[in-house]
Amino acid sequence: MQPTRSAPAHVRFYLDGALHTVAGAAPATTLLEYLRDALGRTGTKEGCAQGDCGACTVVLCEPQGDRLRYQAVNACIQLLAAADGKEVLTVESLSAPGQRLHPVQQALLDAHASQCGFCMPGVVMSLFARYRSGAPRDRDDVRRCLAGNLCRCSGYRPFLDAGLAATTLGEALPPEQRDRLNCLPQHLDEDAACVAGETAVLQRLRALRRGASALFEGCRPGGPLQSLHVPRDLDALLDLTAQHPLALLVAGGTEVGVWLNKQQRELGEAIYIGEVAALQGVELRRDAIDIGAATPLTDVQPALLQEFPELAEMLWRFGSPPIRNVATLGGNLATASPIADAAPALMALDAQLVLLSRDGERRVAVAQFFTGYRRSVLRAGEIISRVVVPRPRQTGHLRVYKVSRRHDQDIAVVNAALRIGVEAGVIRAARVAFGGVADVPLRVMACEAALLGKPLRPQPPPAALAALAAALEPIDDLRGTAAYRQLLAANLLRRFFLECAGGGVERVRGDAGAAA
Amino acid sequence: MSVGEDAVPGVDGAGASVIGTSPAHDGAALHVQGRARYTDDLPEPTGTLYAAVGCSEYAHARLLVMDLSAVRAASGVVAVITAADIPGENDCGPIQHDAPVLAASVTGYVGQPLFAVAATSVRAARLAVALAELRYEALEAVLDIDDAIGQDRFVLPATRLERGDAPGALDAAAQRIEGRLHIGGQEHFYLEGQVALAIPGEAGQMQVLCATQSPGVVQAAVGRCLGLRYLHDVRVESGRLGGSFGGKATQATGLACIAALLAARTQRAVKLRVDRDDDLRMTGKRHEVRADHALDFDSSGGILAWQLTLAARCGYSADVSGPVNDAAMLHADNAYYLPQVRIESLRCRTNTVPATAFRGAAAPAVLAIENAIDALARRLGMDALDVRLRNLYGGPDRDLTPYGQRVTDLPLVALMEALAASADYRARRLAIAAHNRDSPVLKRGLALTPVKFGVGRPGGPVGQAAALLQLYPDGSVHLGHGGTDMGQGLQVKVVQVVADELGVQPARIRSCAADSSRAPAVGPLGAVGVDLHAGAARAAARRLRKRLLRFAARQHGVPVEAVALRGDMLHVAGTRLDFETLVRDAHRHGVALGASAQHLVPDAGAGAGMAAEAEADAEVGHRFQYFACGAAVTEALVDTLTGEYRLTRVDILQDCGQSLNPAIDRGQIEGGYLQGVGWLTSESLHQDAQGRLHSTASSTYKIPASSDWPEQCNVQLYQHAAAGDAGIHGARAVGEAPLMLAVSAFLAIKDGLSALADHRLEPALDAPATPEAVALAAAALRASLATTTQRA
Repeated sequence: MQPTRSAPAHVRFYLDGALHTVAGAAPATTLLEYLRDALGRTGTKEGCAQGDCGACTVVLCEPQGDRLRYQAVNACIQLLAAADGKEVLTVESLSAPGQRLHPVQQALLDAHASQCGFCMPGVVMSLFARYRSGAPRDRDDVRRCLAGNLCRCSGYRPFLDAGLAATTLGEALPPEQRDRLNCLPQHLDEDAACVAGETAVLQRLRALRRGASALFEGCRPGGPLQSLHVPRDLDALLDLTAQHPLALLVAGGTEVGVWLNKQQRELGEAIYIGEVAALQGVELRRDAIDIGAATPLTDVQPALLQEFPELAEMLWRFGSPPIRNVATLGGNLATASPIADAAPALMALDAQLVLLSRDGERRVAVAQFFTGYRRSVLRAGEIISRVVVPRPRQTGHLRVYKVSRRHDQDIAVVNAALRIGVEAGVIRAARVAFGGVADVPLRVMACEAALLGKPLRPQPPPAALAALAAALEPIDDLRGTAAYRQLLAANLLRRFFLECAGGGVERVRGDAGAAA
Repeated sequence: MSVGEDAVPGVDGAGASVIGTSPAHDGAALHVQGRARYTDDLPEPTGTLYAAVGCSEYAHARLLVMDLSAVRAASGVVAVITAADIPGENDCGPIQHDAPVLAASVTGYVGQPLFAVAATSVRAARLAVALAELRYEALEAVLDIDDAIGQDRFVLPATRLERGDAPGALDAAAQRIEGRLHIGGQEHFYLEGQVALAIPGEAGQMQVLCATQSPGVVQAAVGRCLGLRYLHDVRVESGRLGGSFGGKATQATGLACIAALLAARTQRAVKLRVDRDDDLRMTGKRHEVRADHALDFDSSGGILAWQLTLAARCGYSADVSGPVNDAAMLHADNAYYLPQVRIESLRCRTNTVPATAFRGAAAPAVLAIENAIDALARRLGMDALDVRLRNLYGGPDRDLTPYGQRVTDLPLVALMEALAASADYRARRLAIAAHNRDSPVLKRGLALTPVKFGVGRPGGPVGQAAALLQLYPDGSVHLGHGGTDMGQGLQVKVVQVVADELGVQPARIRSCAADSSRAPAVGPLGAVGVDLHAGAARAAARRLRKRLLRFAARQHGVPVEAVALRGDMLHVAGTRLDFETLVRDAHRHGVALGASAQHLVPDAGAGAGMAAEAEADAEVGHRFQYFACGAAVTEALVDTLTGEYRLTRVDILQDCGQSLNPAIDRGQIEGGYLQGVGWLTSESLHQDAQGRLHSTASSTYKIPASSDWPEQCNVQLYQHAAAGDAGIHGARAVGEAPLMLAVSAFLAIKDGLSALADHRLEPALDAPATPEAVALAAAALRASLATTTQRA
């Protein structure tokens, strides 16, 4: 085996039409640090430094097929390397001083949306990203778009108004001006015509695309992240994981960014897996939805929702759009958090994971994947390559729950997915999966067994409730007490039966996922 | 009389006044373009160092060893300081001198600063701090209110406000409402974290650019700890603040002192910007309160006596616990006439971070009485709105507050009735009852609560402000005052007032960052900020206007009554002259173009309104310049299985007098309400048995997000001609009161819960009403019902 060498490389990205080539920046440098400290782009703010408040939201633009895709991300937890090969748009990119404001900016101004103004750049960029990928249609659209933009001054009402007003403002413009606004200031010539439209941006970004794997290292050795390998294909990735079996695998980086900012952790070597095509994409096969483990949730969502609309609760509330634009199913599972959003649902759907290394491939049910607190069956040098969800869907009832202190952008106290198959009024199949009730996400087989053969009634069989209570080992922590977790687990089982057989008991927040 | 946010046109003839119109916040256009500069965005002087602070890991401990040799040796470190390196007084307490900048030998709370580092980068400074070798001998720590009271530990003496014999009445009462309500604290969670940049000047002077709402407090403390004899050697500038809400009133001080100490030590600029988690650990929050209450009432729901003991967790030092808890006492009546009343305030000393100012300081006291009124309504089977209307101030002999100020000109009865009508309260109450009968799991709840809020304290350092106005020969105006804009729209309102006074367009006026060198900065101010600073600015502008008019009259040989300034023009006997020309001429003739003025909170009630029967330890009499009021109806939908809930509708009517800027005021109302909703619902501070705070980040401390705003909302300003004693141009302060309208959200959730037991049982619900608290309360109600059923 010829060991693959990643070529030492510089991070290259476009900002306002200018190519930036960054030599020797420490691999741990975040995009926000680089923008603010190295480039003086202070419009983008640090609010929480963990991707939760949205003040640092910027937009990354990259080719997707023959179009450009605009996606909001949290610059505070994105490594600078995540911008490699992309066009970076910050709030300053949208309008030159003295120039006409973008409809999103104008609408926020008209709505008296800003008070202290610190959240505004992030709000602008979230709405801008939405605007560029199809303007919001209703208040729920805007609400979802802004799920990760906290404001401490306002009641958000003007944000929601402005999100819709921006659409109207944009549509009210004569076509030539609309084109103009779809161009960024640096693309406008003196006649205000669009000289570098989408095609030009596409071309220059394609020209940036790397053929070979890259290695980013700082000019000074050491630091919290010594080096970052960016393999371009599966072969290169497997070589790297074989050579560096202890290297940290980075996908969306939403957790790694927090480690770097908050815990001053020494992370050693890391491998960024987001450029490996084989780990990307969703394939709809006859027997399964086959999901590349490093596919951002934004791209996973439509296929899963199509087949399993009940997953809306979990998918829409997995995180804000900037989180879902980068976070992956593989990452959510690999960290082996007991409260991983995806785990109960994937367990209830009998999903399997494809684990891959130079030694070969193996398949593990999600329900068998977790072995202890933040531990899994994943071996050193092994990666999760695919998440395979069986289809077509079974008949019966499927429900997914996430209970958290705040509806949006929060970590669950308890989450759950329950599925039963019913024949002639009798439960013939059952899956009961809970998170947040033990040191691992838990498939509660004893509870499932207690359901089998029982008639479907509005109340769960007492034996099932007892089995569930006995199987849980919840703890007290800041998100909830053990007593509450026990109560929630029992009451979610009760709610499930009320929803399936009790004549339609609704939830306080209706259907979270009415629209895509 | 109730109108929306439409502009009220000016009455000043040609050139309509900008008063009552809604120009955008002065920074808004910059905000949306990312071109607004906050302290951390300012260009840094060459060679700027970055600071980080080492903090106590123990709530109460003797520091046995503090070995900082590894810190000093760390890469990039330039200077390290401890208490021993402070040249002046080691104190940053705003009122009492009880808050060391750096603890010396005994630590008093987790997160108390012990030492500080200046290094060549933020990361280097933060990494170096972690290398300190600290050894402690743990001492017994007092962490909660019960223990502090048990051990007789208080930062300030207990205070009482009393009228009549409430304890006697309650003892004699056949039945009473009584209970204990735990009310959680609240983190400000300003989006912009604490930050200060200290720049050493020549001859020991120090300039501090600091995100603070009290430049004066910072100036005094920096001077003290540097050992500077004169305040003129410290210049504090506070530009744009990314939110404060009271959190940067005194809490910026210690951090600014540390930056200044390091800057003095290194003679280089030093910036201290703390990480969000450290910010939450190191800085004070809203007081956590234990409210013990007892209510005596008659069969028609009339309150006969109200007794309330508010025990507040003040933390390690007094900070502003005195004024904050006084404010709570003075609002313990909220909107109700209380024939007999006894309010007691305990200011508990604990080994926790000092609690501090927070928008709506009186909120816990308001919640306490509103909560008890709901309980009373349940007891009597009455609608809570009727109980409230029954007890409002008003009518003969029902207008005297417990502290002896008469409540006059408070349109609360009319306002609440207007709100009940516009919100369709009565019909919805019936519809909700019908829904709840058929819905065993999802319950709807409804509550309408008022707030009466006292504004403006006559006398003393916080009852005054100064402004300095400079008119340039081109007709533009530069305005300096001690007020800071934290987002509340202070500057745009001040500009409106000055533009109106001078009869010029607002674009001519720039109201600048608070700078201690331009106007002596006042202490921490909340609601009264606009009244004070706009008042001072107006007085300065008036001086200048008179001077210009006298000059113009002289020039044109007409009496001064024949000239006027309006619509950006000088009007002289039927002709007009543009403003620039007037100013240029005045300048050429040596007319002084600068003016300064001071504004004092009027003390209209001095010597009046004192009630003979009022007897109290607290000061009594005319405490407030005026009262503002408002009311809100919130409807909630509660899942009694999981404890999740959603606020489905809110209707608010807030008294703004004659609003200076209706759009800004609406923003204050909505934002204040939602911030209060956060306090009473999702914002839960989690501290462990060692006194360590665990909810230190946005991932663990949950302020409301956009989906928490009620999908149906009707927010209206209640505009009316206020009496002469109200704020500038008859506008009433609106910054603080709306936070307390969120009490209606808490009580709506509780009302929904109580529907589980057909409103016959009192749900055991403390604040915040997290989903957990709601679910456990629901489970307890179900258990009580089951017991009752079994007995039956």
